[in-house]
Amino acid sequence: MVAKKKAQRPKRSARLSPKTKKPTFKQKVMSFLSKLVFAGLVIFSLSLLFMDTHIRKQFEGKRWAVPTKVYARPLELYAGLPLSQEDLKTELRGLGYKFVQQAREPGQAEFSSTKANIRTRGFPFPDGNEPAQQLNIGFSNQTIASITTNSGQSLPLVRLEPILIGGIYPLNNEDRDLIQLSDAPQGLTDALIAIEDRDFYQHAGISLKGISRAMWVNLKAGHFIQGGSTLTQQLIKNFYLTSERSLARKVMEIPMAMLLELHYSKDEILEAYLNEVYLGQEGSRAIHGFGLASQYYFAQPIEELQLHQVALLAGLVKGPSYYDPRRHPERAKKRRDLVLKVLYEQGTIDKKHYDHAVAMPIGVVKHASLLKGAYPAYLDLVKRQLRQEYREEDLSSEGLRVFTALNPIAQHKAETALVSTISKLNTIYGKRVTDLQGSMVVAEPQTGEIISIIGGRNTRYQGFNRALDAVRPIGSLIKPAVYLTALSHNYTLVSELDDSPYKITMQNGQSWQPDNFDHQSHGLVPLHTALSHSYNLSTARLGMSLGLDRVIDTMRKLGVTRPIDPYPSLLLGAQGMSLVEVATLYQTIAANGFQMPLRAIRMVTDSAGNELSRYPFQLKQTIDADSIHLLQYALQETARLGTARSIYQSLPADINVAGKTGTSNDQRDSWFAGFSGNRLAVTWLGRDDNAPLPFTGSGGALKVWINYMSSEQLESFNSAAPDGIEYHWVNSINGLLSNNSCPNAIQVPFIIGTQPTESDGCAGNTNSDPVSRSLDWIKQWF
Amino acid sequence: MVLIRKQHILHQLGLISLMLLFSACSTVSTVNQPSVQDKSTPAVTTAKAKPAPAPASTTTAPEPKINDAVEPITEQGNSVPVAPKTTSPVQQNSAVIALIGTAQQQQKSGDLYSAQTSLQRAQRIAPRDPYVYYELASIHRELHDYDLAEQVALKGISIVQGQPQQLHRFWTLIAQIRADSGDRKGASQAQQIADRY
Repeated sequence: MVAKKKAQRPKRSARLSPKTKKPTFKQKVMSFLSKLVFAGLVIFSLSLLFMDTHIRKQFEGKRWAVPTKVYARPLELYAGLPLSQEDLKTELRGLGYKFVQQAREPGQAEFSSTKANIRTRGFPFPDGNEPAQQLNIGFSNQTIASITTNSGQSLPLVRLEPILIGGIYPLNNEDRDLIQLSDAPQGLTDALIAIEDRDFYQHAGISLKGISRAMWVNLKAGHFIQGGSTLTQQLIKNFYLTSERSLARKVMEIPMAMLLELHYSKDEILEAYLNEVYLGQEGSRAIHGFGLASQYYFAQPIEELQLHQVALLAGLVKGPSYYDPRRHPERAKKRRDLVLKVLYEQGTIDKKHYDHAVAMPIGVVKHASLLKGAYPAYLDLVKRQLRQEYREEDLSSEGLRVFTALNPIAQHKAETALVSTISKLNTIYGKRVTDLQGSMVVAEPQTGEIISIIGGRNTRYQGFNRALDAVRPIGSLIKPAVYLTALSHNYTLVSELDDSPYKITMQNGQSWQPDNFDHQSHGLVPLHTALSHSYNLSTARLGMSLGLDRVIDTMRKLGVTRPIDPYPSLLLGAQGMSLVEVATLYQTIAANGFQMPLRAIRMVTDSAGNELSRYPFQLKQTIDADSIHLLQYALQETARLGTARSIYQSLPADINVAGKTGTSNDQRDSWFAGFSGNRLAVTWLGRDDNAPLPFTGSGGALKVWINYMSSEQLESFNSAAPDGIEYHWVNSINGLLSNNSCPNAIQVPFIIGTQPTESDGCAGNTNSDPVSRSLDWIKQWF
Repeated sequence: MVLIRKQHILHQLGLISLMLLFSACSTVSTVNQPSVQDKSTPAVTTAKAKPAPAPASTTTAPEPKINDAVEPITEQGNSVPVAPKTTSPVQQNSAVIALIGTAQQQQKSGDLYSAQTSLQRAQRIAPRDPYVYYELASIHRELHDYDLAEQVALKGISIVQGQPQQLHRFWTLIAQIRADSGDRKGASQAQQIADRY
């Protein structure tokens, strides 16, 4: 046609000749058409070129925005670890392990009365690869007694894979776990090709054979079974084009598919397809790719999937919503069985495999057992910390990996404690506790790692995170700061405090008149009793005599950073704080005066495991060890004899714990903060509308705390007395030096030189050295 | 009653039984008893009986005395335990030994951050093992992070009360850290403390 055009040229040059004939209508049309075709060709070539660049650019560049993955702490297994079989099962359930009679494959576990045999999957940790292996774990007294391999070799330390607890997704909410073609079981690609595009390895992007076969199959069946699009076309459609169904798009699909085939191998195309394809929807989150779908439907990594499972996933491609195995299990099974039948008919699988697979149930897990979304409050804290250091764009697209300190076993126990206590309180108080809310923070007191956070009674609710955002008056939880100030300023644990009625008038003319909870004045009381019994009058007097500035200074040293209102009511906890702030404050007390920033994140790496940031153990001694030791004594007294003494109705007496109850004005908030040697927990109960509660700190939050602590294997809080501390026998009534054989004598720590010098007059207490007295006591037996 | 039983044991078994008794008695607290019994802490006893991080199991305490001492346990619930003046050496867990070994290798090859990672793993397993803090403090010293190095060493000191060898080691380390940071006076003060042990 182009040649024809050229041939017409002489005629055109002769246009000026009067004798020239006017072109006929036919010629005009032809000319117009030729031009049109030419222009069309140019446009087509240009758009092909454009398409080609576009296809190559996108296919070779970063193909997908890969969300950040957030992991729980990996469970470290070693002989001597306090871990019950039930705890291990909780962890393995979170990892999607199958409990079987005999563990043969990675991701399987078998339990007997004293042993567990688990086949781990292995994990590429940033600090080294943890291999997949078979572990024989022996238990004794809820503790791991031994870990050996199958060949009997003893293993000092093994890490399980970390549980994936969530992610940070791109705006389109597409979530995917990228896989390589080699990760996909052969059965998956076989099934996919068999059901979607039988000639995949033969065609050049489009398949006329495929289209005709699809038509024939559909005609034969009388309804639509197969589509004619090749996998390549489907990839083009999803990857490059919009989802609208238009002819133009369909037309674009064909040349683009062919171009893609021109540049890339079949395996590259198939791998991209496996990662791109849409396979389900969970709320606003779109499940893409077989890697994630495997986790989403079966809670297993794709490498572990069996024939009947991969057939189900391959069948889903046609309509993830229509064949949703959770909503339409019958439909999904029918579709799966069809895939299996096609595989059998093609000879890919034999009769035995076919019969076995068809007989299997669809076996998708419930949503609940997939732990994504199970820890919204913890994830919330992690995201806030990440957003301080990373751009949102990077967080939602670079496939970062975030390793946190979340302990899913502790979280599970904390949730159980909170939910069951609230439900008990509901039974006791009925309507008076409607809409009761609660939250909780658990930390490891020696390392400062936050291991669990609960943001509300509905522990999976992603909304208001009370542990971080509910800033509520902390009531008597503030008192340790007041008493610590005193103990650092020449007060001793037996200093007498005045608990008589108290009223002050402030500069603005307002007066402040605190009262004790029992509305009684207790006269002169020893300092340790005033704290352990949480007397308000003596605390207010003490705090005012020390000065608010000094108390605030102590709060700062304990780790409180928020602005503090310097009002007298501060001394009784009018200041609002969040649970995490309270946890920070008590962490400093539990850690002998070392302030540690509470940490949730351990490390962030890129998608390949290269470290981007680390959050090392940090600490700074801000309170001297001696004063803290005295405070720890009084807080242990609170648990043994004071407002929290109900603790020892549940905890064994040989476990030392320390803590403090808190109740805000009109009982609007019920608090408890306390610690053992290995757990620090802060609990809060209250209502979002600030309505008064029918119970105090000890009647509510303390019950949650006790409930939780009883479910953990606790280590006793044992802190050696620092060099500057000596214990002395004193009379618990008047605080004078006493003797071990005297009535009301108790042993109390003193900063050396501050012990009372006067004796209470009880006979024979001249010798105040406990060691020599004790030796005397021993001698008398021989 | 408890007292009579004790006398009996003491006479029979002499000094070794006496020590045993102390550990058992640590759960007993009556006003009439001297403080020695409180000096042996439950933790010390537990640490000897079990690997370091294992807490006293509440239902299956190995010491038979605890099982029949129901009354005293309740009594102890009513008084604040006396803190020991000394800590006893921690029995190292094989997992921690392995991790410290790895960390030392990494330190030798100059991979200080990996060594830090290994030691923090060890710390999570045994947060009361002074060796972990000693090594961690040394790593921070090598990273020229002297403030943190000293704080980590001080943390170590807080868990080795009454162990002269350990105290000497930690204070010597603090002296070195201070010397490296240019604080000569502080270094010599730390060295003086170290020399006391």
